[in-house]
Amino acid sequence: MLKVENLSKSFHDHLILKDVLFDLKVGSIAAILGPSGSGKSTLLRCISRLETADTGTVTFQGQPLSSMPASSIGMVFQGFYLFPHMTVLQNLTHAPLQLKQMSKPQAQDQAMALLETFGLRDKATRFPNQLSGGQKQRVAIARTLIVNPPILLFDEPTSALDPELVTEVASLIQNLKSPDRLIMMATHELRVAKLAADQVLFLDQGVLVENESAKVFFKKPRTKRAQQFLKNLSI
Amino acid sequence: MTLHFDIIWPSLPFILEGVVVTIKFTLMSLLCGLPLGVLLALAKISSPILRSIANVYTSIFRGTPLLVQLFIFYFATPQLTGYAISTFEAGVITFSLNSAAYSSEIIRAGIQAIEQGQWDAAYVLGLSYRQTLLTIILPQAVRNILPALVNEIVDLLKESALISTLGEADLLRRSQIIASEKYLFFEPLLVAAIGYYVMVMVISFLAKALERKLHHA
Repeated sequence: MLKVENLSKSFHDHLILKDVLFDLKVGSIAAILGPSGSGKSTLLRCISRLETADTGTVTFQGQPLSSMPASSIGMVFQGFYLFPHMTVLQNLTHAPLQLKQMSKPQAQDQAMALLETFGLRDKATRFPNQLSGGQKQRVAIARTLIVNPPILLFDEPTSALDPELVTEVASLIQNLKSPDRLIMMATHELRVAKLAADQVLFLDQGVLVENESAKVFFKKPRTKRAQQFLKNLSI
Repeated sequence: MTLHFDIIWPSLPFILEGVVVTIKFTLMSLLCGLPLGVLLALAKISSPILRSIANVYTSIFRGTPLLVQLFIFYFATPQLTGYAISTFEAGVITFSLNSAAYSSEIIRAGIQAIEQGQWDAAYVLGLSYRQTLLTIILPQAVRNILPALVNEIVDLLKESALISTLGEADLLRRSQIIASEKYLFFEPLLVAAIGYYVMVMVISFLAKALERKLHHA
């Protein structure tokens, strides 16, 4: 269980997250929805510890997240941020080798196995600038998966990609679902949330307005604000 | 006008030995100056106190003539410390400190040009600040700053001719010695000029090759 309690964060007196409180079951996929500026990305960045919350606590399986090793949280960024001076294979093995989490042959074997599952085996010796957007994303996912983190975060997984790829991304994320992993994604693309998520957290101006199962949320959101949001986005 | 290259021909090896001195001097200054430049650049992107110190340092070395700095290190060191500093030492110290000031600006800009996402990605993967800097940021920065850094090396090499004013037997000084010996000025100075030009061309060529190699990656 991931438990977020009274999380608040402000930048220069501007409150981005206000007393956010929720918990999520491991083994599920949660989508964080909300209009731009609602605090979706900041919430993910606080969980990934890229930002330090002003107040509040985050625990995972009863343990404070701040005391857990970096390898327990994987994050796939909107811009992927592959290391451009390294090959695909090196992108995957670099951190585990630097952190001495694996031996070189072990890291390479594991990386190749991951690349295989993502259909990227033949790209191992390529550099990121030789890949398509979708391939970059899969490399970025593989890079976080190599240490098998129990928490996996996606920041806007579809926005850097061709709109046609949304279904593909949704099934890609769904395939990552496992009983001992929690997946969270911040997105403004409703389709990917609808297709992949079990749970929806709806944020508006930094306030968590709804925490609902995806089925209920998309069928009949409780709050006016969420109804409005869905209405504005549906064609 | 008649030119007498035949007269200075026997002195050519003597003049060209200055190339070795110049290269040695430039390399030494580079080896000391570049790491210091990296440290200064890091200071400039860290805490406000370190940043101000590094900025004051840079401002002093960029705001005063190199020749004045050279004279201070050479002539004032014995007075202030009692140590009889050699021309080569004074030159290397001055040029290292001076080029560190210039290269620190280039390196700082190069580091800051790397997108924040690279730091974030490395952080989330668990890499430390040091690991991120050395294995993720600097290798990318080097590619961006290489052309500017090569200009700095070329400047260093050309400005190294200033040590001839202290009597160090570099390329320029040796050609002056021959000039005054033979009462011929154009020929030995032309040899010196060509010597510098060839060195600069070699550096540029090597840098281009390196750039191509890095660009490929």
